[in-house]
Amino acid sequence: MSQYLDVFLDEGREQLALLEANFLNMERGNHSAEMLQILFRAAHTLKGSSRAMGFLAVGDLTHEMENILDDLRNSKLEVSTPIVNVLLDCLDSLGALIDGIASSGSDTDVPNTDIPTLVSRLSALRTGSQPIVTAPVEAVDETLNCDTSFPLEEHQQAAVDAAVDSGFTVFQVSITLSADCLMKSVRAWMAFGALESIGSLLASDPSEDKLEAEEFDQTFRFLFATNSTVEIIKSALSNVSEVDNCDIRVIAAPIVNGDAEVVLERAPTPEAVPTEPLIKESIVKAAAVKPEAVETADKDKAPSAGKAVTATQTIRVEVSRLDTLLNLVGELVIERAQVHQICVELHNRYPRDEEATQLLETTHRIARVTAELQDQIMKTRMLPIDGVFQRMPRMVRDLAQKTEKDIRFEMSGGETELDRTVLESLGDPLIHLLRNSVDHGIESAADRIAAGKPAQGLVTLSARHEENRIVIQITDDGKGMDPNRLKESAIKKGLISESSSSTMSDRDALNLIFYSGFSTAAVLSDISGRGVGMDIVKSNLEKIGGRIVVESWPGKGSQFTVHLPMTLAIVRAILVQSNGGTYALPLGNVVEMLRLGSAEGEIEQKTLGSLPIINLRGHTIPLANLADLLATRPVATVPEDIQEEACVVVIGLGERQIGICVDELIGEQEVVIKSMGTLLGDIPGLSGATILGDGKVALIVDVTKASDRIKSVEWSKSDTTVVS
Amino acid sequence: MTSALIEKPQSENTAVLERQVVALHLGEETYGVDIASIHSVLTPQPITVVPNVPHFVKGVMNLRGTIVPVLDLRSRFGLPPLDAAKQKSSRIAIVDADGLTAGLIVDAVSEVLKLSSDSIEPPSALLGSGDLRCITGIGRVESNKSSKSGDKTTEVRLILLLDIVETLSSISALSIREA
Repeated sequence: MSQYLDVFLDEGREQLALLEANFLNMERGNHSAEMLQILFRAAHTLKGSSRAMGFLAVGDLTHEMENILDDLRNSKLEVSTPIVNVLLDCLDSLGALIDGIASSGSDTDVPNTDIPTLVSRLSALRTGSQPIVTAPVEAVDETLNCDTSFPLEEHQQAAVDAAVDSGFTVFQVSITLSADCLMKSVRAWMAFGALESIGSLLASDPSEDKLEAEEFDQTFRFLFATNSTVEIIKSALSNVSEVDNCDIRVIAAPIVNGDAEVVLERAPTPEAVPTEPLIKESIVKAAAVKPEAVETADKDKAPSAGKAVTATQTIRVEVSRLDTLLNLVGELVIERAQVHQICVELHNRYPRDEEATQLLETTHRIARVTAELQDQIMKTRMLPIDGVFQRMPRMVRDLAQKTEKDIRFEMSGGETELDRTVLESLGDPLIHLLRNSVDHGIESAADRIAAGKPAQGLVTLSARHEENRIVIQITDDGKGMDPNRLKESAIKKGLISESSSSTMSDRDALNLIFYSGFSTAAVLSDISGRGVGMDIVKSNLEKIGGRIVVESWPGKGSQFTVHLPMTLAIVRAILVQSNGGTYALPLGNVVEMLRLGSAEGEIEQKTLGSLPIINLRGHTIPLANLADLLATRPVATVPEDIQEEACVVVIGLGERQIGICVDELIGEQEVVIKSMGTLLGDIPGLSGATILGDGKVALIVDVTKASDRIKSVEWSKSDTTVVS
Repeated sequence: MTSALIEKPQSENTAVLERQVVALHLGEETYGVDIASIHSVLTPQPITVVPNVPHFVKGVMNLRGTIVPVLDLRSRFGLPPLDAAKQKSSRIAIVDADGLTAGLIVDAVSEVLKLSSDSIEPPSALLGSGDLRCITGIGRVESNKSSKSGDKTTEVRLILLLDIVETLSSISALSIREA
C-alpha cells in the first residue's frame, strides 16, 4: 500500500491545487461549462482514488463536493459566493486530511477537519434542487447491478436501444492499463469519471464493484452512450495515465441524426459505418479487426481537434537524485576545465604535433557537450513559478474579505520558470508582500471613493524573465507611502537620528521599511505582522540571491520589484586577482569594467572629501578596494591605498553604483557555487566558493552584502560626526 | 564518540576495551585522534585564504571537488608557527566527525596506536598546551626499547586524546567572538 501512498498524495495535492485555482475563477464569474466539467472530474478522481486507498473521510467529502459540482454543471445550481466559500472550506479540510494522511497514514482524527458539518453544509446547498435522477442514469443503475459480460444481455440491449432512440451513439470502450500500473482501480475510476463526464455509462465489464476492488487484470470495458465524437472520448481518456491501449468501437448509432453522422463520418473503419438502424455485435466484431486503424486515425486527428490534450510523458524523480546529478555534472565541468588546460599546454609545447592538435579539438567538443549537459540538467530543476503563484489568489481573497476591502487581484507570468531551490524560498516573502499591499496599501472603499479612485482596488503580481534574472513585481493602486512619514516614524522608533533623516533621500527613506522593528500601520493587525515582516522578507530574499526595490507614489500606490537569480547553483562571474587571491564576482551585478589611469580609455581616480571616487559619464561612483570590503572590520578605502593602475569593476546595486578595485581581471567564466561547509557557516561578504580549472579554490564575493558592509561603515561614520 | 568510550565504567570482569588512535604530532606533543574520524592524510595542498574567519582557519582547500576548511592546529592551540623549513614535511589530516569535515595542519602524522581503556586517564590541566575542552583524556603508551648496551628499557609516551567534534565546533563560537 505504501508505494501507492506517495502517488496518491502527489495526485491528491495536484487535484486540490486545480480545484482551488478554478473555484476562485468560478467566483469571478468565469464558470464555463467546460471548466465546471474539469472541476467535476477533479473531484471525481479524488473521490475514486481516496476510496480505493481506503481514506473514507476524503471520499465522503469529495463525494458531496462532486454532487454540488454536478449540479452546477447541469445548471441545477447557480454559482454564488456562499457555494464558493463552502467549497473552499472543503478544500482546506481536504488539504488538512491529505497532510494528515502524509504524516500519520490515516485520515481519521485529523484536526481542523469537521467533515460532518461540511457535508451537511454541502447538502444544505443542494436541498430544493435535488435529487433529480435522470432517466439514463437509472438505466445505468439497472445495468450496472448485473454482472455484465459482453455481448449484451437483453435488458442491456434495451438500454442501448433506448440510448440510440434518444439520439446517442453507443460505443464500447476497452481500456488496457499498462502492466506496471500501480493503482488500477484508481485508473479505472478516472476512466469511469472521464467517460461519465461526456456521456452516460450503460455498463461496465467487470462490474463497478469489481473495478473498485481491483478484481480485474489489465483490461476493462465500458458500454457508453454519448453524442460526442471518438476524438472527444479519446481526449477525455487521455487524462488517464498509465493506459497502454484504448480501443473505441461503435456498437450502435441512430439512423439519421446530425450529431451521430459526424461521428460516423469520422469513424475510421468504413466497414463499421452502420447502414442499419442497429449494428449488431457481429458486425462490430468485423470492424474491430482493425483496432490499430482507429488508434492511428485518431492520433492524426487529435491535434486538429484543438481541444485534445497532448499528454506529455512524465516521470517522477526524487529531487535528491537531480541534485546529485547536478553535483556530478558540476564535477565534470571542473575536470573538463582541467583537461582543457593541460591540452592547451601540451599543444603549446608541441605545436606541430597532430595528435596534440586533435586532442585540443576533442576537448573543445567535450566542452560543448558538457555545457549542454549542464544546461539540460539545470532545466530539469526548473519549475514554473505558478506553483507558488497559485496559492496567492486564495490568500488575497480571504484577506480582502476579512478587511472588508474590494480588491481585484491579477496575476501574470505564472509560466516563468526558475530553479526549485529559489522557488521553495519564494512563497513566504511573496505572501508577506501581498498581505502588505492588501492590508496597508489598498484603502477602504470609502476612502478610495473620497480620493477619487474606483472603489475596487487593484493588486497585481507578475513574473518575467529579464536577461538571466527573474523579475517579480507586486503593485497596488493604494495610498502609497510618504517618505516624510516614514522618516518621522523611524525617528520616533529610534532607528535613525533626526539629523541623518534630513539628508536622507526619498529612496533611502522608503528603504526604511526594511529596517527591523519598523511598521507603518497605525494599528497593528494580525494580518501584516508586527513590524517584524519586511526586514525578514528582505533577508529571506537576499538569502536566495535576490534583492528587492521599493517604489511608491503617495496617493497612487506602491510597487515592490524583486530581482532573483534563475538558479543558485551556477553563476557567470568575472574572476579577479586581488591581494594575491583569486575571487569571483558574479556578473549579475557587474555594470562595466574599467582601468584606472590617465591614458585614453582609462579613467582617472579623484577624491571627494576623503573618499576615492571616479566620474563616469556624469555619475560619481565611490571606489573601494576588494580587500577593504572583505576585511573583518570593513573600512572605507583611503585614496592612497588604491593602486595606480588598478582595475575597477563597477557594480550596480539598484540605483547606486560602487567601483570595486582589484589588481587584475582574469576573465569571465561560469562557476559552480559550492558551500564552504557548515563549519565556517556564513562568511560576511562571501556567498561561497568555487573550484577553478587548475583545482584551486576561488572565493565568490557577494557584492551586494560586501558593499552594504562598506555603506554601514560610512553611515555610522557620518552619524558619529554629526553627534559629536 | 571518543568521550563516550572513556566514560564507560570500567568493570574488572569485562575484557579491556581497546581504542585505535592516529598519532598527530604538534611540537613536542602527540595527539591521538580516533581512527574512525580520520578520513585521510595529505601532503601540503594549495590553500585559499578566506577573510572574516578565526585566525587559526588557514583557509579552504579542494578535496576532490568538495571545499573543505583547513585549520592550523598549532595556532588553534596557541603554539608558535612551524619553522618554514619544516613546513614541507607537515601534513593535513582530513577529519570527519558529526558531519563536519575539515583539514587539520599538523607537524607530522606517525602511526596508529592501540590504547587500552585502562591506560587512559582523565585530562589534567597541567598537561599539554591545547585547549583543555578539546582533550578528552590522556593515554599512556609503553614501548620497549633496546638501548645500545642491550638493556631493555620501557619508554612511556603520553598521548593527548583529541575530541574532534569539540575542536571543530568551537570554530563557529570563536568566529562570533572575534567578529
